Amino acid sequence: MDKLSQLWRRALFYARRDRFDRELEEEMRFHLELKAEENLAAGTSPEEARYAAERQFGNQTLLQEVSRDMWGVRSIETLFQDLRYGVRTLLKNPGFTLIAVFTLALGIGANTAIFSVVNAVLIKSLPYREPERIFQALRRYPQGLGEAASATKFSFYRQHNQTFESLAACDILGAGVSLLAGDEAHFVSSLQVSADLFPVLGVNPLLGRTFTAAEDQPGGGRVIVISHSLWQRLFNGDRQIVGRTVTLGGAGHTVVGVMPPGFQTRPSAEVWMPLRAVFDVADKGNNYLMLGRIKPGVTPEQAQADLDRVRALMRKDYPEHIGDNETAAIAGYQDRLVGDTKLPLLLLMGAVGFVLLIACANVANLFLSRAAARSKEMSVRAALGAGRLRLTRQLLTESLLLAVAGAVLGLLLAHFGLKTLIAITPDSLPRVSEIGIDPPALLFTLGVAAAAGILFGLAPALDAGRLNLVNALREGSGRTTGSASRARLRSMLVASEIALSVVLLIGASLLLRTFANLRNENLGFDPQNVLTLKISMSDPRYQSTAGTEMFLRRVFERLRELPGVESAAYITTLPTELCPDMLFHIEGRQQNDFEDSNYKHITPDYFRTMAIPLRQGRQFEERDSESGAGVMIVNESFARRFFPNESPIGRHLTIGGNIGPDYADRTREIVGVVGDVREEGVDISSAPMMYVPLAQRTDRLTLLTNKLAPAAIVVKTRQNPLKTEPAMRAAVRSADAAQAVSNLRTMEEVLSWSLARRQFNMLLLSVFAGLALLLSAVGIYGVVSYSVQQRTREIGIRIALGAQARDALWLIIRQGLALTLIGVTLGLVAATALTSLMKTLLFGVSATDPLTFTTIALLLTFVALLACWIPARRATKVDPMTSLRSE
Amino acid sequence: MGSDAKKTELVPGTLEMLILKTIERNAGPMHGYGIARYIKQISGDVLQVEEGSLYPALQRLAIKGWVKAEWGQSENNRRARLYKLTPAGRKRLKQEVADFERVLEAILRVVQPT
Repeated sequence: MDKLSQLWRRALFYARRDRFDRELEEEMRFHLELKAEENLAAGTSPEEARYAAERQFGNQTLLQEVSRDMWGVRSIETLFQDLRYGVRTLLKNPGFTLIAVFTLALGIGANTAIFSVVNAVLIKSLPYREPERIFQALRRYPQGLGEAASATKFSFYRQHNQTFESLAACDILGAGVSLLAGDEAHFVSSLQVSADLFPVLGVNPLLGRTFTAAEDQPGGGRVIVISHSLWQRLFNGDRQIVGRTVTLGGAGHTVVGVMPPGFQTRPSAEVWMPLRAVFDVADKGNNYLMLGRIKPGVTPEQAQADLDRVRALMRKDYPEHIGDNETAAIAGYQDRLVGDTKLPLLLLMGAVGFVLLIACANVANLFLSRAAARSKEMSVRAALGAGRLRLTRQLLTESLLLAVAGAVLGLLLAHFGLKTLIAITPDSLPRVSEIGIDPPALLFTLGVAAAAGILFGLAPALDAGRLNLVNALREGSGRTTGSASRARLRSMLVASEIALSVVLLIGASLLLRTFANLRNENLGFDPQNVLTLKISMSDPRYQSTAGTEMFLRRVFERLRELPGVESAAYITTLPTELCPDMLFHIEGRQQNDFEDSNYKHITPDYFRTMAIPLRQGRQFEERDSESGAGVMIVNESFARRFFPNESPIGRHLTIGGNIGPDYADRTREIVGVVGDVREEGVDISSAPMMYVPLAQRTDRLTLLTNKLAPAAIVVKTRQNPLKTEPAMRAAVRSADAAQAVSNLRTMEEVLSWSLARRQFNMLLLSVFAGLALLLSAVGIYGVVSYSVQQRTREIGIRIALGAQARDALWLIIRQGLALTLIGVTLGLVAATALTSLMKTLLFGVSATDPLTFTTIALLLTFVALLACWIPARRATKVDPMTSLRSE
Repeated sequence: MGSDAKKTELVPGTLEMLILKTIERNAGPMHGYGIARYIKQISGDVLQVEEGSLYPALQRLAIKGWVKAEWGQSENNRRARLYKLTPAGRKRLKQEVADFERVLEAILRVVQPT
């Protein structure tokens, strides 16, 4: 209370400070008069009396100032004074100001932009209610984590856990579905979710409702919930949509709800359908994600222990459902979503931090060189009584002003930079839609600007504090050489800039080489002139293998009729996309000896379309139909792993075996071996793979597959496949008018999509490294050219005394070279330590790749020498007469 | 600031108390000059309050809300800024005097021969 009223009185005072000054002056005058009268009464002459009074009174102005200071507003007034003066000084040197502001804007803008991304992806809470209580349930093995669970397991866990408010499940990957709006079929992404998913995420629908428990039971009726964007796009935001029936995959579905804008599940979808998971001891297919909301007051550790208890319970009753080394684990939903984007983003954040440091060093250097020119001004001010603190403060005010200007321009740069950034952001980066310059980003920018202002302002300010009055005034002709300490400081700054640039450049080159390596990696197939497309198989007519096959056969026939099309084939999922895997048993091996391998279903032309070489045996043929003998083809990795010293051809095995009736399969004979394909991504080495003809897939498996993912089709063309794109769409439509084609991309696009995130990181880091290189080149140029200017007279004397132009050149370059070498050495040492952080992001190149390190060291030395050479050449042109006369 | 060597230094921290006490003793509000003169007189010229300390101290007291300044008439009918004690100032004075007496007594006990 007391403090508050004091504050109030101070504020009141500040508002009336002019009156205060007047009044104080009057009070002093009154005091003096009384004092003079007193002296007069004591018998001195009036003049003397007044003089004595004034003498006794002392310095009236100072007294007045001290009295004012009591109110503590001097600092505010000084601030305004400093600001005014700072603005004037900066405007007087537009060149200096412009360069400084722009340099800072680059540094601050880059930081703001990357921070906005980091904030949206890593820091901001998920747009769900109390997201910190949402956890994903995982399986933990000694080798790592598995995230998929079976419907059976989900049902069991849901029933027996005690720590979750509710536990939900959804597909690992949405299948997508053809939606008929008007008379046009649209491919929309879809996801099966348990009714609990919406309460788990804690989001209420905008219109209508989400699924009821009854609807989530088998036979619960055809109901869907749609996303806000789909509602806007296909139904024009019609509020009467709830309760209406729409045709989805050839069957009528009732829309029961519309979710609010911005709501998304992961995997994302435009249409949500009930999952209808049931407890079925026979079903062991791990096709779902399991996530839940823990009860209030329950710790993650308790929840994990609880799930592990349930796991033990299930293992006791249904041992075949839980792996030998399996334990239950949980992970925060946000951490799971962010996953592997965390490291690259933090890396980029570090990189822009470096860029800002370099920018600060540059501006500090500018300040220091200006400080030399200003030393006279400073000495005069000091001589007139400005305290050391006061001078330091003035300089800091100027640098903060610059920083604020830099921040404003930086925000502008960040705004446009972010637009570009979002445009090139890979779709796989989570939460892209949430990126933007919001209050936290603004606050961050402000903080960065303040820190930068102090950082680059501190060196010159401290330097000014060390001012030696006498020397500065004596030198005073504006041709001061600058103190030795100042020169040392500048050199240190430049050396650090170079060191930072070396680190950034090495980081960027390592990513660049990684990317090149991945690009040149032998994929095991030829992506050239291959077009891929996805077709939703959710139509009831395609729920049998025969139906699916007949439809595809028709599509292939139409496609092959198109000019330029060589072949077309089906595959479960494309290379680099999510790849199913399955247990199998090799006949003749120990009973219950199950192995695991990737597996996909294909139509006979697949290998030809993708140019995957046949190594042994034969390809699939027409005779490998439903009624034919069971056959399969494996890849070389499979042959090597499971038949190390024998030929796999002619061997029999059973796929699926004990997983459940959906997966029960006939015994198959291996009829061929094909080359390895980078199936799980360009950067993941090939794993064993089994290919099974689509025609021999069981109906149950077809049903399941069509529910989990859209069918992928690859088409080999003779020329650029995109030219035939419209014709292909038409061909599919002519095979079935209700079918929508989606994701029509060339195989090369699919591949670069799988590398998109790496490309994103590489691109950004390269831009930052380039920026760093430019800034440090400017930095070293500035220092060297300044030193040439300072040493003109010295060089003039040297030349007059017979030194050659070459000597003068060397004199200057030597200085720059020394700085560069120190900087490069420091940078190499730092890079050795720092690049180990990005080990996991590299491919085919070591984190301390000697070639990269050497190249970058040479590159920087070269650029630095160039930056020295330009001003150094000026030194050789020094005319001794002019330079000596310029005294 | 012309400092006079002959002046006796005030005991540190007592200036504010002296000012408060002076205003309290005087029936009405006082101006700065009056306060200084009064302290000098009562102390028999031992305590001299410099203007350089007096006016900042008065500001300090005003900020803390212990005195209140307003313009009025001086004894010889001139416009002067007059300071008067606030209730908070009165309370503060009482406490300061009590503290001071306690300290003084303690000091005396130490320096006086027994």
